[in-house]
Amino acid sequence: MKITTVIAAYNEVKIIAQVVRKVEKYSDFVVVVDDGSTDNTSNAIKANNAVVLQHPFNMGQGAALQTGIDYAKKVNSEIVVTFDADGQFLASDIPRIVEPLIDKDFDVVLGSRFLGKAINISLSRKLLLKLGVIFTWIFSGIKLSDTHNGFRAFNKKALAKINIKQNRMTHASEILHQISRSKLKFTEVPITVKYFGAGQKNLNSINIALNLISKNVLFSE
Amino acid sequence: MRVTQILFAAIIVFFIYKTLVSFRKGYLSVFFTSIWTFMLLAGLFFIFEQTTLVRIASLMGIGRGVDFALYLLILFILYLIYSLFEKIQKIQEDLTSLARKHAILNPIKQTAKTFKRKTAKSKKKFRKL
Repeated sequence: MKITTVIAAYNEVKIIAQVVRKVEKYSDFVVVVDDGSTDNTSNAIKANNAVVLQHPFNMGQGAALQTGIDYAKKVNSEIVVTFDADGQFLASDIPRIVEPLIDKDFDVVLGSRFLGKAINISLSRKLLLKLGVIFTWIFSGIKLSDTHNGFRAFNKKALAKINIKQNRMTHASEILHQISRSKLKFTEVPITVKYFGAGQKNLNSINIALNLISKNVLFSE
Repeated sequence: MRVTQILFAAIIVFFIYKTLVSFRKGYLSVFFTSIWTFMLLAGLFFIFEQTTLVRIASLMGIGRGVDFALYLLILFILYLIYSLFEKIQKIQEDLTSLARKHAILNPIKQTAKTFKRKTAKSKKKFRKL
């Protein structure tokens, strides 16, 4: 099984090299999509054994992930893992997240920090994420323990069905919606997320929710 | 004829002129130009024919002609916002697709050889995992 890990990075010059180094231990191939960074993120990865794709301008994490997925498909990857660039995930969780695809015939595996560990998570973030779970349940009909978690794994069947159109952070809900619509077999696995100040701000979550409502309810296709 | 009527009529005539110029330059579609020009001409007509406007308004159950015109205007503006949103979405999709193609065709660091080598090793690695 060819496993490609896709990392969408935006202005992560300080940590990206370290993240890629850890991830490549557990992947056959690493695709880093530099989403129009202004801090030389791409140059920081040069020392690592990874392909770097660069967006000419910032388009958002959803767009970056789809670019990485398209490239992974181009190089005939059989499993694609999506991984955040901020170093909050553990690369050692990659085998755990791909295992249900290989052994249990699942199409999609979603990481769950609430089944696993969420170290240093603030109460407000926890509450917002739990609200996101309810939100996802209402809009996608999928009941999960965690939502907006960037740690996922897809097999070839799922890769053929999923096409991220939401460029910004709403892509997380879009992916779940597409999983539900395409009737892909999915499961959750426990993963660890370590918070250390970086990553999404709580205010962004409100933005994401508003975006989601506007795109799904007011302007649905 | 009141001064306000002349002023509003002049503004509408200017809008019609600008619309037609934009259409000739190819900035606007036939559909949009037709609808927009029709709305402006209707506005121009009702500025001078307010009794007709009041009559239509009362037929619709609205007391004042001005209220009727405002309701129509609000509906049109809402349609305009929606169509602009759609256009922006379309442009964004095209731009994303273009940027994506560019990124995929021009990887900064190509490691195809490494990929082949690592793929051969992957089976071993996964047996261990």
